[in-house]
Amino acid sequence: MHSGIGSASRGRVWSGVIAISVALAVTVILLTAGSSTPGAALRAFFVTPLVNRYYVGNMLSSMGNLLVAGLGIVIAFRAGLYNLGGEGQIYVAALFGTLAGLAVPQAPGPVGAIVVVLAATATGALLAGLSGALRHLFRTPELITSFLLSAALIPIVDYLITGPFNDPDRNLLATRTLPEQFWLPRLLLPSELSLALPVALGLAVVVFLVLFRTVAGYELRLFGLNDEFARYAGLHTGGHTIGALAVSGGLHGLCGALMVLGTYHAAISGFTGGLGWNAIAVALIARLHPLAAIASALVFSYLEAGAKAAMLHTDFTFELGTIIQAVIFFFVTARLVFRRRR
Amino acid sequence: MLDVREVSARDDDRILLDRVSFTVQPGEILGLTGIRQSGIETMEEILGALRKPTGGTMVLDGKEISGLSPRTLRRSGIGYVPTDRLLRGASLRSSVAENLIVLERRQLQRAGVFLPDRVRDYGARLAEEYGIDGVLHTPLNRLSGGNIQKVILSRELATRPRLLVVCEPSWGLDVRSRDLIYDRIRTAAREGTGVVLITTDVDEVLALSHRIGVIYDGRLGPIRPAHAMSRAEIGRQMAGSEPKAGGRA
Repeated sequence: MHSGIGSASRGRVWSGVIAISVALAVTVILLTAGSSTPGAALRAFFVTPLVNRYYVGNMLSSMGNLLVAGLGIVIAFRAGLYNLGGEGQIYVAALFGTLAGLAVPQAPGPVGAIVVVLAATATGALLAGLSGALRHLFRTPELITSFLLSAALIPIVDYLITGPFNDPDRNLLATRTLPEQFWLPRLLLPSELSLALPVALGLAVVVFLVLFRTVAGYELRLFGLNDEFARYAGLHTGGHTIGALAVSGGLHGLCGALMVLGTYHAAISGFTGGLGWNAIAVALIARLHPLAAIASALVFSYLEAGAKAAMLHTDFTFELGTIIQAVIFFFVTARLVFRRRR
Repeated sequence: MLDVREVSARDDDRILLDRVSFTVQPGEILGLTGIRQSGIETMEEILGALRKPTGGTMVLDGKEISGLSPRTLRRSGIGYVPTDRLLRGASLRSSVAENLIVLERRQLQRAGVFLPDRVRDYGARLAEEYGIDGVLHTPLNRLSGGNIQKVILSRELATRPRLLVVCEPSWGLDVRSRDLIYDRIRTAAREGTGVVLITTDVDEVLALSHRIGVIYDGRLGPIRPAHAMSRAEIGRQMAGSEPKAGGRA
């Protein structure tokens, strides 16, 4: 007999599948209509991401990043809070993590990596936690503050990376490279796939267990489902608002650290490339379920890789990836609105 | 046990409650009734920590409780079954079990992790005791109004509160569910819980209460033993036809 903890919130997956199916259908139509060689474009989109180790590895690497950032969204949204600052949190955290790592160049590999992870996670947690504190203290909507804070910090980080912290020895808009002993081992050369993916998968399991098996996760979900009831049941409002957003930001920060340690080995200008936003789609398609986010991140990274391949190998010129994301967003949000109106 | 003295509430210039006083003893059911907008909603809001009184004191077992947060009130041993049970009384999209354990969650865990056997046993015991239909993992919104009310009441009474504030307990329920809920409220009172019953239902207040007070235009009339009150008399007081008097009992 089931204990009943965490049961009611297990959502249906069909609507997520429908959203992706429709996005795929729209993609096929766009590829067919927008390319002079539709067959080649379709093949590039659907087959190329799977043809060799390089493509598959890069796709899985991207999936890991999406998954960790998506888990940050899962935590916030499950608590009924809207963290729209993921993009900035990942970016700022990646810079601070890199700077922390560069400050201890002689540290042994694991120690240096932990320094980067801690600095980045703390940065993300502080940034999002600040929105939580503003919400708790002044009732300022976290949706606005997290977004604005992120939007304001991104150009500052751009300036820091390209200005004061730019690596003068490289022709890249990037900081100096982290010492090699800090780097996460690569798993599928020559691709970018690193130990970050297993870490991300492990994190999904941890987030699942915390959300559905612990008192803290239960309280967090209760706040998200009915904050009025949670308050009357004697739960602590402030702790959950600040705590949930800090954990959400912390996961974004960790995502930044894993990108630096696993893929880029430095903070590069603009290297998040919309990851914070795509993470929202990943979390929503997964219906905020941490384990479903694994499949959701995989599908999303496959679509992303396909879009890049189609643009690289054919004459398809549109920002196909953006269109596909927009289609998924549209159907996922339409589903949410429809559910609320019923 | 509960001593409410001269409690008042204002909303801008409007007087919502005017120097309301009453006491509740352990094992007693005090019924407060009145028509909507007469002040009983405000009384519920104050007892449920939704609103701070603008004057007066509320003392539970020697401790001042007016103006405390819902969290602190809960910890003081006050159970609360709100009128708006779907908004404040339960989480409809959570499972039956998740709704049942909310007040006892700390007792059902070790090191922050739920003990599934303990959660299951606790939920099953309450579900059986209160005749709650549906399995523990059923989302609450799939249950009937009667079963939802049973979930809320069983959860509140399972903690053996010193004081239970119960509002419109049989609103929208079938006869069987209503009888069971009445029975459980009476049993809780027999076991020593003081009960403040807030209801607009005259039959309900007569059926359950030991003493009854009628609120009209923000003022509480004289509190009298239930056997000394008739349906017609309560009706007259609810309509304000009797002289208003600051009652105390």
